[in-house]
Amino acid sequence: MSDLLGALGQAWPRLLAYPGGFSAVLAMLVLARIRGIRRLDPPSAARIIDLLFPLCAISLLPLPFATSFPYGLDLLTAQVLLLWPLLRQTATERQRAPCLARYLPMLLAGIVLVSATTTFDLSGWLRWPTEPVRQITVVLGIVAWIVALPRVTPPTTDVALAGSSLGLLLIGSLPLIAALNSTALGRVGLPGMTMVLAVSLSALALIGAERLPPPIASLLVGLALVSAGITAIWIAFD
Amino acid sequence: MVLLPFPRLLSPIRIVGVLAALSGFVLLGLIDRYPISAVGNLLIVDGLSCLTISVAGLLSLTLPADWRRLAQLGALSLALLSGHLAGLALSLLAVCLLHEHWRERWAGIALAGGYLLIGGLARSWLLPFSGDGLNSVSFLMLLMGAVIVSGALDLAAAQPSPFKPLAALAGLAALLRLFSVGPWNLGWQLATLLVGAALALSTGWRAVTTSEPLVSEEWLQRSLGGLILVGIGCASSAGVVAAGLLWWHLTLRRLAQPAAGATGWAGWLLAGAVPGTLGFVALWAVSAAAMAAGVAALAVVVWVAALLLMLAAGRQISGSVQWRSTLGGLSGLALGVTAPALTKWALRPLSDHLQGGLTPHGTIEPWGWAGLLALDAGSRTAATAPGLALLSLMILIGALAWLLSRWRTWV
Repeated sequence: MSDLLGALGQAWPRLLAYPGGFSAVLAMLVLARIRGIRRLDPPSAARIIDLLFPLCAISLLPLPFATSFPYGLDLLTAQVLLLWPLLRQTATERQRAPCLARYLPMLLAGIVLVSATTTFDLSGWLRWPTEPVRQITVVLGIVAWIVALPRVTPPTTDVALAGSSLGLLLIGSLPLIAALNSTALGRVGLPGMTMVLAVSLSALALIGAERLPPPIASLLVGLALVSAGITAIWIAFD
Repeated sequence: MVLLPFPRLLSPIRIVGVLAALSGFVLLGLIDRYPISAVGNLLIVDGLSCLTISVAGLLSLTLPADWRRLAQLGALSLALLSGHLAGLALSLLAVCLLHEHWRERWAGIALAGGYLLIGGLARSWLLPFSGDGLNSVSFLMLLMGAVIVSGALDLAAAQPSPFKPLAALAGLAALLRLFSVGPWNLGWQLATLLVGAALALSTGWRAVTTSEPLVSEEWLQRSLGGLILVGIGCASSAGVVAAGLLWWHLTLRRLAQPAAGATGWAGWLLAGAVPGTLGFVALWAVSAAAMAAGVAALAVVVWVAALLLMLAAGRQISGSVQWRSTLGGLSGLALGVTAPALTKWALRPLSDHLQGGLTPHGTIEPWGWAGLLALDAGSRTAATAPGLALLSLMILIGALAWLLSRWRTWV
């Protein structure tokens, strides 16, 4: 129990400054702005509770420069925390059949990334694989993840959904940070630059994905799935 | 689904149910590292017997008082305590024959037939020495029986018949008991994983797309049965622990009956959508077990089924507030927060005593007091669920948000 209390004592910078707290709110505003939302709605009491879940997930993401916290998240827990506002919203509309098809590309992209990294643990996603087959699958997985995001969290003025959107984007950025760290940019010792570059690239890709025709988006996700299948076969016979 | 008038607590089945649950927990306290066997291995008390007896006792509290249920409870306890294959087979048969419907009776014949065939082919009828009798026909009969009692045949119907928890427990425990006989081959694992995932997904989908809360709950419980099958199919320590956690979650939902009416917060605590609650831990554990077993795609598919169940349970929240759903929500939170200790105390014997038939592909370990950790065969982290740590952080963030909102009004 003392380990847990000690860890919670060290978590304040994560909760208040980075990656949660002030920096998360700032990043939410910037992301909403570049997605064409001029102003987020001031949150009501219920939406503040909804916002807590994504903020908690963002605070615990294993991003570079964050203070160490021994109890990291995995994809499953992060996904539940980030999708909480959507889950609650869908659950309250009981008389309407839930539109679940929009989540399918993200779940398929999840299969691709998990197959390539062989772990749900998000800190494991910061390790760049050595095998070229896996590297290709991770890259295609990142593309599929970002392409899937506009369908799950379209641009909205809802502050809780803006938090979800940012968290899901940051999860997609984690393998990209690993990829950039393995390049010359990472080797010259500029990890901060690789992180900023990875998150910026992801955000730009998200803007691009919003304008992508649905068949092309489906094709990209399908391509990533095929690559994951090839990787799985390669792992089985290796 | 039958809604129970709980005040009638003094009916014989309820008293026997409570006694069975208590005796299951007491027996769990008595066994340590090794199972207790007596009368020349004819009687075996291990982690699986204790879990099944305690869960069956609690489940019987959710059933209408009837002599058949009482007899089923006795037969199920006898089946899991029997170290003789004929005793096991006949007790399982009795559990299922005591049902009113032929569907469960046929499943009972399949379950009993499976074990009798193993006994017939083996050199000994005693459970620990019958490994040479394992064969694919027996396995298929057992799997078929377990799938039928889990309610898979209702998928063909527009409306599900009431879920039979004791029959389902008998079928799934019979499949788990097969690990005491010997290790499974890969084909059996694959078949169980595929059937379990298909059952969980299809019934989960029906649960989400039904607007009637009680019907949705029927599908939801079948889906949990499918997820338990996935846990068993992982054939690992992690999978068995996940199956145990899912049984607890199912039992808690049946006891709390959130579909009959619940406050928002209690309904969500029972839905499994809040990290740190028993429901979340159980749904996480089965997906983590699949990941630790190295079947990444299946792990995500299982997680999709889990998300469907969370949504289905969330859509059920309505109606007048019932005290048992409130109590159930709080119990789910307490059990989820103490999951590391509970896993170590109550579910570790289950996986330890079935170790002879399990593969080393995955374990679920307590992560201090913070939560649970799933490790793969190479002891690498496959998944993490820091439930208590997350809840504590959420309380901290909530307190900060409250302070900020107050500060805004003061300013």
